[in-house]
Amino acid sequence: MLSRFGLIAFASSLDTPGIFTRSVTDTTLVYDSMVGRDFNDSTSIDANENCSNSFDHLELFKSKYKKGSGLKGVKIGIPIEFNVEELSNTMRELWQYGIDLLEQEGAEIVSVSLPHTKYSLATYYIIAPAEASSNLNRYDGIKYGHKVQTKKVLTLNEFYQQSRSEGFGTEVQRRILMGNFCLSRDSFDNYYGKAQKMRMLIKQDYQRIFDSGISFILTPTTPTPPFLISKQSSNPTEEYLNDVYTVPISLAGLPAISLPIKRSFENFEGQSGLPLSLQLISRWRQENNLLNVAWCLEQNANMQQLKLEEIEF
Amino acid sequence: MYRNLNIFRSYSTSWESVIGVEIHAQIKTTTKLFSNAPNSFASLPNTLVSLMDCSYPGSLPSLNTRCVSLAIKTGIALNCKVNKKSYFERKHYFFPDLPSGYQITQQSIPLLINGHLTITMPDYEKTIRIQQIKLEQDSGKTLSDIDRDLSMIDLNRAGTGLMEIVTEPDLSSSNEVAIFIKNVIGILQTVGSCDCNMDQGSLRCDVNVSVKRKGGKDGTRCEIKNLNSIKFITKAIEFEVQRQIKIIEENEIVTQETRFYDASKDITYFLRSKENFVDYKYFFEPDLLPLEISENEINSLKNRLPELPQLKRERFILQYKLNNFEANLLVEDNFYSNFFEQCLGLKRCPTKIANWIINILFRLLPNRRECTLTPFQFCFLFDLYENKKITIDQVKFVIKLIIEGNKEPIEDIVENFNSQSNYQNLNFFCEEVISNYPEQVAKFKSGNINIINFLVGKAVKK
Repeated sequence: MLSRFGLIAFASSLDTPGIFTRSVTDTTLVYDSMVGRDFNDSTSIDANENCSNSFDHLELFKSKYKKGSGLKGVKIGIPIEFNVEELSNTMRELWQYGIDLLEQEGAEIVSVSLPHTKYSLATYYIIAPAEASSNLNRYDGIKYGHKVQTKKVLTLNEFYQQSRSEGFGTEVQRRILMGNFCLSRDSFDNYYGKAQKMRMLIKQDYQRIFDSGISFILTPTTPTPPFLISKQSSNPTEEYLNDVYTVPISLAGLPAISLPIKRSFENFEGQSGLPLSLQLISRWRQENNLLNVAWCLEQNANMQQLKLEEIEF
Repeated sequence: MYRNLNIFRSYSTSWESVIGVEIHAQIKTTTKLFSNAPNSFASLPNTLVSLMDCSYPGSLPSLNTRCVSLAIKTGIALNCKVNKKSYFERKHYFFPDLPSGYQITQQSIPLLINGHLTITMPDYEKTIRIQQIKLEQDSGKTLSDIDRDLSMIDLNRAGTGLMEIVTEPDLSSSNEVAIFIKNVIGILQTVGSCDCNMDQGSLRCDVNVSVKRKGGKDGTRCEIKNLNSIKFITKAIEFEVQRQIKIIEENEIVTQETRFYDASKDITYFLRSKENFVDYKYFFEPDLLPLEISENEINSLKNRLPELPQLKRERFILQYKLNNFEANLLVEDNFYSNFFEQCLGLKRCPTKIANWIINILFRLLPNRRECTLTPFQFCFLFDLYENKKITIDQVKFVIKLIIEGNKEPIEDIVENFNSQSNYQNLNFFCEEVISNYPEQVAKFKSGNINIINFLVGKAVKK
């Protein structure tokens, strides 16, 4: 729906331009200006009436909105597999809070099952680095970008190795190595091949849920509240765990929006007032309705506008 | 001597050559396969490069559907099956003339498979199976002979569409390979999918050669590259076959390797070993959709195919009563088969026209690929000759003038020529010849009539 032309490619089958705004209404404006088929991107598709002119659709929704019945007849799915051990109490409470808000608007809350959720992280962390390692092959120091500066005469391979080692940071190098491994002939079937198959199964999980009458899914965006920069984990695998709720959505290619619902009033690591977010997911090509529901949630949420001066890092 | 000949015979009849061919043909479209940069040969370096061709960050491939149509038409002409859903894949390796670090090609499921082409050798016919035809990008060019210390990279060619035509190892001799490639060139030119200009590199061939004893097990094959004319292909194959036979006869083992052909020394030399396996890390290209072709599209392309060389040759033989040799030569190049048929316009005798083209025109042209003579000019001379208004030598003379660049209308050229050889001059030349060759004149007078040809020849030379 949104063209990737012009984006520095990371993992082509997962890359999507993201829209950051301060309100759902702003999101509709930005989205409307970007949506649609771009002939420069062979994988982009046309937008139909359910996923274009979202601003107008939201205005219409707002005009008909009556508090307490905005979501009458809408079924919201709550996936049980997302209730994992790593989910902090703060975020679990937030999730319940969000569920209550939607119920107050007349939505019907349904428990759903997405059985392949537990494989999402592994699947993502095979597919993404694999495709990234391929897309990053072009940074070889020959035509643009960092080039090793030395008086010594290098062989071609030495030139590539040094330019790329100097030019890429640690995390990128890590992902390239992981990706190369997953695509290598001996490992391909067990890693990349299997990951693509698992990706299809994950997508089918969501398809089944949406086919059964569920219109939207509500989950926390992250398993824990935001962590401070000073307190970042040095273990990359731990870092990857933070993506556990967003990764399956990315793999399935579903439209999703994350919005802050309330501030943490709990003393978290000596700081309070950090924004906590929930994620709303819809089926493919239902962006207009997704944004309507997101706006509804935004109206009911207890979230003040963030003022940057208040936060100390 | 007799004994040596015997050994030679058994030496050559107990061995079989097993040859497969990979032809890379540049697809003749105005723009490249995945970018809208122009596809052209002679341009200043790096002037035909789009963002996609130099793999600029943020660029994405966009398929040129005309390349697909031409490839399908070529495949149908070669009796291939069209895969209604085929996939593009990435083949990864690092080299300066490959800007993205990977080539977009087709690997597991190519566009066309299981074709065949029947070639007509002097004594027999043979069907060569075509394993597949796939679409892929061409790389840029690396030039190392301009500056001793630098490799120059020209990306004009990077991204041009290629059809890679791969045969099964069904060919058994250098002659068969030559005929096969000529036939493929005929088809590509007729379909219009490739220029087939081996000098300019729009058609490149690699051959895989192995030898085995009759009835024995298969030998190890070597790939030979850098063959840019059919003549070199045949010479390289012959050298390689002898090289491999010699190795095996001396109880050594042929190693699997890639070799280059050196035309100046007429040898193949070792380039790199194939034993160090390169892992290209193939996976499906995520920036492109699977290539889907409908039955209707295939039929529409099939119906738009022009008359193919095989059929044309049969028709020339049947319709115009040409023999095999003549028909083959005319059909080999689309330009000349059209030229021939245009000349036949006003009920001119086909066999005579064919004879003229083959024995006069072809012999006078320094390069058959460039012919500035038009059918109209050709027929003008032909008609004059048939009406006995001009001699054959005069015809050759005029044709030569036109080929060398004379742009005057042909009527004027012939007019000038005729006025040059007027009666007076003719008399003068004849008298000169008679006085220069008294011996021959005496022979003529004493009954040797044929000697007149010698004297006439001398006069004409004047």
